[in-house]
Amino acid sequence: MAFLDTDRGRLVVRIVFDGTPLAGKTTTVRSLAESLGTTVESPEEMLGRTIFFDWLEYTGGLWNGHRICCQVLTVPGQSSLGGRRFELLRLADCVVFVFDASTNQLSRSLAAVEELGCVLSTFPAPKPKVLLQLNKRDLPDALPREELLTMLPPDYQDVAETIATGSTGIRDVFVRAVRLALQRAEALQAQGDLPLCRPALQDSAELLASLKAYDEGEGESSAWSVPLEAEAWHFLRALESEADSVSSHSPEPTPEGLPNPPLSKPPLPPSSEVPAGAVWPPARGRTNLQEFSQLPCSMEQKANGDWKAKFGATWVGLSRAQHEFDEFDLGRKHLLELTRLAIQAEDWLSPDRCLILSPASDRTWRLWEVMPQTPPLQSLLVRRLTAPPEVIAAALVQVFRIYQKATTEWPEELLVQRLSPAVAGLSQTKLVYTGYIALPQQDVSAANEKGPAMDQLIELAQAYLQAQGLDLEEALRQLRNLEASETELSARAGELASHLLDRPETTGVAKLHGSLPGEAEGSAATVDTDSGAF
Amino acid sequence: MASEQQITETIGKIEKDLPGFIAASLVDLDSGMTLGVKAKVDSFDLTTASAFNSEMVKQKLKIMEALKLDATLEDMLLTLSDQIHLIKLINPGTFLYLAADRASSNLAIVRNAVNKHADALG
Ligand SMILES: Nc1nc2c(ncn2[C@@H]2O[C@H](COP(=O)(O)OP(=O)(O)OP(=O)(O)O)[C@@H](O)[C@H]2O)c(=O)[nH]1
Ligand SMILES: [Mg+2]
Repeated sequence: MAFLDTDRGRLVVRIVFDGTPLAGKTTTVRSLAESLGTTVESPEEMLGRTIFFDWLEYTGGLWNGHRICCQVLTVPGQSSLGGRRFELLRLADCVVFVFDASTNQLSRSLAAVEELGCVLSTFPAPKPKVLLQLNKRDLPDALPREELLTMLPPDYQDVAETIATGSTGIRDVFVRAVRLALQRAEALQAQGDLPLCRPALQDSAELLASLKAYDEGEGESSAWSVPLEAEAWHFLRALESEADSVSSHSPEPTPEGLPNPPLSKPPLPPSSEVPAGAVWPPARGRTNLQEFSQLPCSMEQKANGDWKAKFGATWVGLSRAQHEFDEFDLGRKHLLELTRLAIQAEDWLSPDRCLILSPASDRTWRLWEVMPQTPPLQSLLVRRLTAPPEVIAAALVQVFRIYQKATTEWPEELLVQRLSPAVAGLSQTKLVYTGYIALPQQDVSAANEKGPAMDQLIELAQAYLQAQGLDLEEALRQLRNLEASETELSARAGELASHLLDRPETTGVAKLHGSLPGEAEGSAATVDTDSGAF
Repeated sequence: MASEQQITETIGKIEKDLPGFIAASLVDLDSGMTLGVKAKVDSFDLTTASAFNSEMVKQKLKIMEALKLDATLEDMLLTLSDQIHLIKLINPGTFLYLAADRASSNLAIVRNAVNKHADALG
């Protein structure tokens, strides 16, 4: 799958040549290599047959200012090696299906095209694009293109003609395949799924090693072993969406396992027309309401009946299922109660959080907690994958420090959720809570199933650093080098890293827990968290 | 669409007609990938030059669109202290990129040589 290689600032796309046995896949790629002035690696080929794959790498062209690195692969056609073929197809942004034009191969080739369609249908969208390469056009019994088109499914009408042995049409096939691969990269980017990471496969030796590992693990349940950049990326993204779903308060248990209540009609979003006394804080709340009520609003109901509203990409509103009232006065009573609680929890809330009682329908009122969208630490740890290690370390040091302070001061009785990287976001250098304010007697802090708050952050940081191929200790070491740095800011960060590394109990990442210095004056490794590494 | 062999042959013909020919390539506009190349001077990095020139053509097309110019882009000429670079649009998806030595050629000769053979590349 396409990704932006953060090490080399290039876009990597993979083109996989698939097809029936002896259709001419290897011949095609070798002829392409000759045309591009490069070479093909064919590990452990046997009697001229591909056993693992052929590998060609070529850098050329430009995509949104990035050079395009094309990793071109062929699969082994022999059906006994089908497992390897599927592993390789998984890597593809574009599959070029080499179709043997000789008439006596027709039914076999058509069946193989159909099979490819089935395989690709199991892949996540956007699916790899397919280009058909009608090869061996020089053979006397070669099937004409027009005739083939009538036999192919409607979505396989992109057909190029070649004679691989004579190098005819090969370069054209390649450029068309690159174009299709770029279309997939664009589709991935459009849905925010184009990974920014380091390559999981640097060369053919690494691919060979993973395919061999695949052979060894065959028959086991999780047989995939060719690493895919997108997987690490999606893993981190999944953490992010998990954060999103837990930042609304935990669903109330339904009595005796009854199904959740049916989803209801979305309420009206908070309106700027609400009467006096329906907004807190009165002045700032009004200004904020004016701002976000202009933005496009999308409404989503949680399984427990709570509502979540998104206003553009910048504001979020939460409203509990039970916070819909038939009478304004009853709603106002709840608003006042919530206001008292919000004032107590002020230190942990965004100064822009506001409480609004607004019409939900023509007869009812709904109480909303609306706040600026602040990504929780969990999702911050997914971003800015391109920062150099010392910047990442500096930001992590700061996040750890702020977070550790919070572990001792978190007002459990005021906030529905316990401190965790999923509910705490950073605004400037302040930790802000992104969930509901707790209602006395109703909300009990959810049991801390995931272990102490600090360990959760350390685990996340480890996963994050691993995904970047970095080691926290190593990053801290890099950071320490900043001690002699020119700017006061980085020198301070360096000092702090030094401090962490020199304390014997902190040399293991897990031991970072409880060992960070407090908010000692002047010792802060200040990194601007809004514009810095995260 | 011409085959790679035809492309190289056509560039060969341009080379013959053009004193000072340095290098030329037929380039896919979308990707900046070359469809065929020929260089007289080994040190001329045609792959990179083609890639970046595709970006330039795209920019120019965007500018024309922004200005709502109801015209087609035919060619682009760049004059360097010692070289002339010509970009000739072959069809909406491909262009020919050519570099020639300024001392032994001039714009008229370059345009003439390219126009004479450009059709064979379409
Ligand atoms: N006539 C003709 N023969 C071709 C053409 N392309 C490939 N061949 C021949 O087809 C045979 C198989 O070619 P390969 O490239 O090894 O086929 P493959 O698809 O890689 O085969 P596997 O790796 O075993 O799946 C060789 O003898 C090639 O010379 C072509 O365009 N025309
Ligand atoms: Mg082969």
